[in-house]
Formats: sequence, structure tokens, C-alpha cells
Amino acid sequence: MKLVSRFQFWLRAIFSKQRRNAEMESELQMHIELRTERNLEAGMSPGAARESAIRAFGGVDQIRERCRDERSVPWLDHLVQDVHYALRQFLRKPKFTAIAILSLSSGIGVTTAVYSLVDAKLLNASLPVRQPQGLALLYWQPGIQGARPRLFQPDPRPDVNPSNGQVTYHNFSERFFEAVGREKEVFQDVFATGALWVMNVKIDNQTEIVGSGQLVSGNYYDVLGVRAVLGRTLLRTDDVPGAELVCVISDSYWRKRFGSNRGVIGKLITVDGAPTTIVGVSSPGFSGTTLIGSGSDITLPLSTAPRVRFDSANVQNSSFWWLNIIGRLKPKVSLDQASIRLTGVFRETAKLDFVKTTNEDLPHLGAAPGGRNQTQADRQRDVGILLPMLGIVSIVLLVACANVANLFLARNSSRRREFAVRAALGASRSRIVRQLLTESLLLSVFGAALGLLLAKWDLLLLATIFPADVGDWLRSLGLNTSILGFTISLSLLSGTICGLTPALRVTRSNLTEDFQGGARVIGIGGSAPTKAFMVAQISLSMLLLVFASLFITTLKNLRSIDLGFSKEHLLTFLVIGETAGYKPNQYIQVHESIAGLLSAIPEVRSASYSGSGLLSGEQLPSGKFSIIGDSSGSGSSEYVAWNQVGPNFFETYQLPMVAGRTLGTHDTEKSPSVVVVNQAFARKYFQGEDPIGRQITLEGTREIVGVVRDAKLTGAALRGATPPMAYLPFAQRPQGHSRFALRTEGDPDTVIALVRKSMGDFNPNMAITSVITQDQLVEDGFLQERMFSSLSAFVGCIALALASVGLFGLVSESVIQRTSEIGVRMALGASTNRILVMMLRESLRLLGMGVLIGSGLALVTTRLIASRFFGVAFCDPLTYSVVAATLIAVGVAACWFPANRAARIEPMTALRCD
Amino acid sequence: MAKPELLSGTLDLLVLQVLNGGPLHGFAIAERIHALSKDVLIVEEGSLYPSLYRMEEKRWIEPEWGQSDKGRRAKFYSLTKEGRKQLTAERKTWDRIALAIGDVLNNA
Repeated sequence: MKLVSRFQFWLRAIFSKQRRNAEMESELQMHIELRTERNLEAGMSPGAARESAIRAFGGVDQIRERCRDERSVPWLDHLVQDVHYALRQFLRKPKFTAIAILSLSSGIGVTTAVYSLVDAKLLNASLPVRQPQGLALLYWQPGIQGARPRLFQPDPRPDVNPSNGQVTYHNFSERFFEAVGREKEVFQDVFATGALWVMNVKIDNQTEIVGSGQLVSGNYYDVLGVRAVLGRTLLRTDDVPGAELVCVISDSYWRKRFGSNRGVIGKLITVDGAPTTIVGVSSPGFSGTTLIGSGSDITLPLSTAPRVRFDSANVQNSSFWWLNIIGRLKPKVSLDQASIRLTGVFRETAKLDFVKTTNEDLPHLGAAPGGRNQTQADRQRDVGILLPMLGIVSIVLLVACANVANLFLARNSSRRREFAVRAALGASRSRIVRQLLTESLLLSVFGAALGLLLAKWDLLLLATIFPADVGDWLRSLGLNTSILGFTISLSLLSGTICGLTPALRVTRSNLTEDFQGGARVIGIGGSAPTKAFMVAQISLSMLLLVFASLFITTLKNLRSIDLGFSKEHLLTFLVIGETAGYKPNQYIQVHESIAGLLSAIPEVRSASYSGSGLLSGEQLPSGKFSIIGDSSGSGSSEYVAWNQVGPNFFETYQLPMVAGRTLGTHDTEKSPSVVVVNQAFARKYFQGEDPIGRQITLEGTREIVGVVRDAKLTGAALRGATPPMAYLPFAQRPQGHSRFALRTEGDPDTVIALVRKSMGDFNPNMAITSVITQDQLVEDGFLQERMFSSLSAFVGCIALALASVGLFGLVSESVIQRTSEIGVRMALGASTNRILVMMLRESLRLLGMGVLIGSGLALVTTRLIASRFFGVAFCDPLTYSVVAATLIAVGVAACWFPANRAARIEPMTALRCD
Repeated sequence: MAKPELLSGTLDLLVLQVLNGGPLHGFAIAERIHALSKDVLIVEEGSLYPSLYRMEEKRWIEPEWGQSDKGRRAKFYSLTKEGRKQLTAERKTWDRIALAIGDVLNNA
């Protein structure tokens, strides 16, 4: 209430301003008139009477100003005035205004762009569903012995706590899901989802791979409150055995694959061999409850599982643990209460389904926020990427602020006479500070407005350094209130940072001195804050450039690692036999046939396949092994990573054998079990002895027939030592899917069309996916390094440009201020060179200080992220010297032009000025 | 004889005291202070106005537009209830200070 009445008071005050000013004017005038009349009565001449009256009154202008200050709401009154005045000032100096706004907007823009990522990934990472905060995602953690269900589908993205290695699973059995549904005290309603990772989808007689799909219980859309933008969503009646097969597609898939054609409703497509009718398109932005930014293109009812999952026996078994469970909590039920109330039921089912569990080894049930559905590991990874990024870009913002602060300092010093006049006319110190702050804040508001536009552009640039799917998602990011709020706070903050020091500085100066034309300034720019801001800019630029340089070196080092195999001219792709309807007894035959077909392509020198690709991010299996006849006991129960490889694998990847023989077509399921190990294996477990002919147990008992050169097969091995590795013949450990590799004569991309044709001839219902060159696979592994080096190089250049502009402005200003001094020096015989050196020496001193402080800053901060660098120490002297030299060179170049101008001043002109 | 300048802060007190006698406009207040102080105290007449505006903001006095004795439209100030309280308080303070200074001067 009080606030409202105050507000009304202000409003009245603003609108009655004119009237009140007029009243004040007439009051003051009347006083002078009355005094004049008195004086006339006392016998003065009319002229003298008025003059004496005015003298007795005192300075009319000052009084007027003081009266205004005494009145209420001066701040609002003044604000309007200040803004008006500031705008006039900006227009009068368009060059200054443009540079300042551009500086601020480049800093604000790039910071806002990265912040919108942080916002979407970390702060507001909620699903676009009704009341996401009311959803709970169930999970479980194994007991001490790590017992797991007998029938278990591992999480595709296992959620491992990096600090203690605790694994969290989100998969449950159908039995448990039904039991949760019966429990009425916890959830209003609860649904289950199952994954469909890779689907062979046939649309208009064309088979293609769709990477993401899901199976959901019939209440899924209802519980989430997600509607269809076209057609209808899935209903409970769709999720009953024997119902007609229907599916809902996501809005993004509809746009991408069907070009937003509305005729898609009722269309018949084949999903993994099952003819399915599209009944709806879900609302934009929603693509399932999986990871934000990617999701399910096709959603089918859970009852369809036996027809579309290749492991149809499993999914019909109510003991198979494969379903994710999300429920909508009843009011006043917390996540903890939910998990406690469900623990009883959970342990019942666990006892039934788990491999011999004791009571102490029972798993623990938990409930996590379900509206986010971002696993801990995802979140941790995103924090690790995004927070350093935000840190890097906010340094640019600081540089921009320092730059603008200096512009203000320089401009204010040329406005000192103006301020002196205003002070003499009765403006208080706080009034002038307010005026200057208004100017800097207004400037930063313009900067923020332009920055928001730039942010969109920066986001597009950012999208290019992320992988394609994340890039698409980035391009779709829009503005929201949180981002807007962030940008506004940024602009207020930067406006204050760059305006406060200059404003306070101006008002501290001496009035009389200012009237006399300002003190003669000695040295560059003169004032201490100017120098401090300049040094700050240089040192922060140094910091960013050191970052960029270290990341670029890291990337270069990673790229030049000897992988142990040749990655050039190698095309790879995934073949998935399970979804094309092949049975386990056909797997070997299918792989050999495909390999034979592909080697027949003229441009292909050799073709092979392996269970997991090399440096592809695909998980290598690992198993316990022991050496038979090993007395020392070492390696009696160690784990080793292995890969099943087809004939010609070592030849195709050009992995040279060190001893023994390679694996070939003669190693079949019927021939003796064999294995090839790498050098690291031989070194670690045979210490110089010859491993050939020795027997180990690994997926059965096998004889070591060969030793192959060490190669980097995983991202982890890339940065560290190559771990021991075993290669099994594919035929002795077959599976339905594998990654094929083709060694080509020329550019691998040119054979893609031929490969597709061969595969189409082989089986039109089987599609290939993840077609990529080995070169690109390796490059994809350097994603983080590439992101950090591109980002820090990009912002480092912005910072360097800002600092150069700042230095240029500073020296130019000091040349103007010192014109007469230079004139005197020249008149006294100083040579052109001397003047040039004198001007440059000052800037060199600043550059030197900036480089020193910047190096210190860089040492402290890069030390914190030293583990991210590879093959280069965080304190690498070469990096620091190169960056310092670059900075100084660019800095000197920026000073050269104004300094040169100073040296060419005509002594007589210089002396006459002022 | 040089006329003493008004002690800062005492102007408010004088104005309040003068207005205690009834509503007056600015010029009349200045004149009254001159007269009552037997022309010893001079107020730089203009500085009376910021003081009036300040006290108006604090609601110690309130203005009203009316006719002056010569038929002009003038702004008359009168004491409010709060102003009266303020006057009593300031007088007490003033008396104490004056007494204290007097003591010091007489006994030193």
C-alpha cells in the first residue's frame, strides 16, 4: 500500500514538474521584485535598486539548483534529464559511442551465448512436460558384492559416480513395474519406457536407420501431459496385446524426415519388420524422457516390444530388467518417502530375479527428480565443459569493460571544463557522478541489446564446434526470461564497472585547475586508473591467449600420437544383423558374406570387421583371464579388454604382427580356440618369455598364436599407456552386430555409394549406420579439446583486438595532451626518433607489466586445469614466450601510428596550440 | 561594523520560530528575521528558499498560495504540527548550546 502511494506521489511529481518549476520561479522572482520596490522606496535609482536586490539575494542560478535538489523525487527527475543529456553526448561523439557499444556487445554477446547453454543444460534442464518437478525417476544401486539380475539389459549410458565408482542403474523388470502400479500411496500414476536404439525403418520402400526410438506404456503421454501437434498421442487402448500397431513420431523427426507434411498421419511404415501406422506427431520440443537435446524419433506402445525388439524372448519375460520407471508423485510425498515405501516391493522382486543374493547384498532403491532425467555422469560432464567455457568468455567481458572504462576516462578528462562549469553552477558531486553513471549504464544497455543479437550469432558459431546433433539443438535454443535476466544483470554490472571509477575520478579533481585548462599530464594517459585498466586488459588477453595456445598444442599433440595403426583411407560403418531378423546361428555367415561382397569392390583393397570399432567410443568388452601353468600367480584373476575380429582385421587396419601368426579364415568355430595378444600383454604377463604357444583362459581356454603391435583402441589409451589387449577370432565369439572397416585406394568417401549399393543387393531390409571415416572417428574423440581451443582462440582474438584498440586510443590521447610538451622538446633539439622512442617506451612498460601479470594469472589458472593438457606443461615456457611476443608485437603495432604522428609534429604548431 | 554571518543550521530554527507567529511568504520571513534581530543577522536572502523547500519536504511547514497585502499571488508558509514539535526540540538544543558556550566564555 505504502509503495503504491509513493509511486503515485512520484508520478504526480513528474507530471507536475512543469507547474512546480513555474511556481518556484515566480516565488523567487517575487522576492527580488519586492526587494527592488523596498530599495526604490528607500530612494535608489531603478537600475541600482534592482542590482542591489539581486546582490542581496545571492546567485540566482545556484539557489534555483539547490531548491530543486531539496525537492522530492529528484532521482527520477534527474534520471530523465540525465538520459536525455547522455543521449545528446553520445550523438555528439559517434565514434566513441560506436566503439564503446561494440566493445561491450561483443563481450556481453559471447557471454550470453555460453550462458544460454549453461541455462539449458544445467539450470533449467527440465523436460517440456506438465509439472516436471512432480516426476520421480526410480533407480537402484547394487549391494556390496555388486550382485545383478540374471536377465539384465545394461544402461547404454551407465551412470557412474566418478568420486566413488558407485554405479546407478535405471532398469527394472516388468514384474516390479506392475507391483509399483499396485502401490497406491506413492504415485498418482506411473509409466515405463524401454529403449529401441537402432531401428531399421522402411518408409516408401526405402530402408533407413533411425537411431533413437522408445517403447512406452499406454499412460505415458497422459501422465506427462504432452499433447499431439497433429493427430493423436498414444492411448491406453493402444498398449494392449493384439491392438493394431501404431506409433507417434517427434516433431523434429516429422520436420526432418517428412518435411512437415500433414499427410503423414495414417501413413504405414515398417519398424524392424513390423508394419506400423503413424497416428500422431508430438508437440514441438518434446522428444521423450531421455537426455535433453536428443531423444526418441519414434515412440511405440510397450505391448509392441516382442515384435520390434530383436530379443523378443527377453522382453516377454517379466524377470528381464530393462524398463525405466517414472511416476508422478502424490501430493506431499517426497522422493525419499517414495523410495522408502517402495523398497519392500523392490526387494521381493530382487530376491526372485537376482543371482544368489544374501540379505546384506540386496540392492538399494532410490528416486531421483524425473523431470530432468539427466544422469549424474551427464551432468558432471556438462559442468566440466560449460563452467570453464563460461569462465573463459567472462574474461572477454572483463576486457571489454576495462576497455570502455578507459574510453570513459579519456573522454571525461577532455570534459573536465564542462564538469567544472556544472559544479560552479551548483551541481553537487553526487549529481555529476550520477550523470556519468547514467551514461555508462545507458551505454551498456545499448551494448546488451546489440549483445543479444550477437549472442544468437555466437550461438551459431558455437554450434559449429559441437557435434552435429548438439549443434542442431544449439541452433534451436531461444531466448527466455532467465537468459534475458542474466543479460540485463550483465549490462548493469558492466555499466557500473566501466563507469564508476571514471566518474569518481572526475569529481575528485580540483575545480580551479580544471578551469585553467587541466593540469599538464606527464607520461602516457597520465592517470593511474587508466594505466591500471590498460594493464588489466593486456594481462587478461595474455591469459586467454595462453589458454588458447595450450589447448591448440594439446590438440596438435593428440593428433600426432602414433595410434599404432593407419587411420588414413579407412571407411567404417556399423552393420546390425539383429534388427534385420538374423538369428544367432547366422551371424558368422552374414558377416563373412558381407566382407566378401565389400572386398569385391574395385576401390577397396581389403575389408574386415570387429565387435567394437577402434577409437569409436564403442565399449570394448572385458573379461577375467588366467594363464594356464602360471606358477607365479600373477594374472591369475585379472581383467583384460578384448575384441572379436574378423579375418584380415590386422591387414585392413595395418596393425603389424610382432611374432607368431595373424587371425584368418581358418580360425573357425570348429578349429582350436586361439587368441592374439598385444605387446603390452606380452610384456606385462610374460616378462620377456615367449608367449606364443602358451594357453590362457579367456572366454574359454585358448592358445596364444600371435603378438601384435600395441595400438590405441580407446580414448583412455590415447592419453595414457596402451593397456594389455586380446584379439579373439570373430567366428569363435560371434555377435549380431559389428563395425566394418574398408581400406580404400583413394578418398574413402567416394566408395560410400558403392558400399550402400552392395549392402542393398545383399539384403534390402538391412541398413548400415554410423558411416564415418576412421580419421573422423579419431577426430570426434578430440571434441572437448577442439571446443576449448576454438573457443579460447576466438575470444582471445576478441580480447587482443579490444586491447589493441584500447592501446591505440590511449597513445593517441596522450599525443594530443602532450602536443605542446613534444613541441618544446623538439624545439630544444630532440630528434624525431627520440620522440618516437619516448612515446613507445611508455606503452612498452604497460605491455611488459600486462604480460608479467598475465603470466602470473595464467600460471595460477592453468594449473587448475593442468590435467586437460596433453604433451604440454601448463607452465610451458615456449608457449608463454610466444604469446608474450605476439602480444607485445601487436601492442607496439597499435601504438606505432599515433606515436609516429607525435614524432612528425611541427614544433611551431605544437607550441602555438592551447 | 561587519555583520555576523548566520551560523549554519540555525536558519531552519529561525524560520520555524518566525512562522510560529502565523503564515508568511518568503520575502516576509526574510524581513521578519532582519527586523527581529535588529538588523544584526543578515540572511543571504536566496538561501532562505532551499531551506523552505527542505522543510516543506519534511512536512514541518506547508505552503498555500494566497494574496499578499499588495494583491500579489504569493506562497504562504505555515507551521504544521510536526513543525511545532521540531521547533520545541531545536529550541531546547539551541538553549543548551548557547548556555554552554556562554559558560565557557565567561569562566575561561
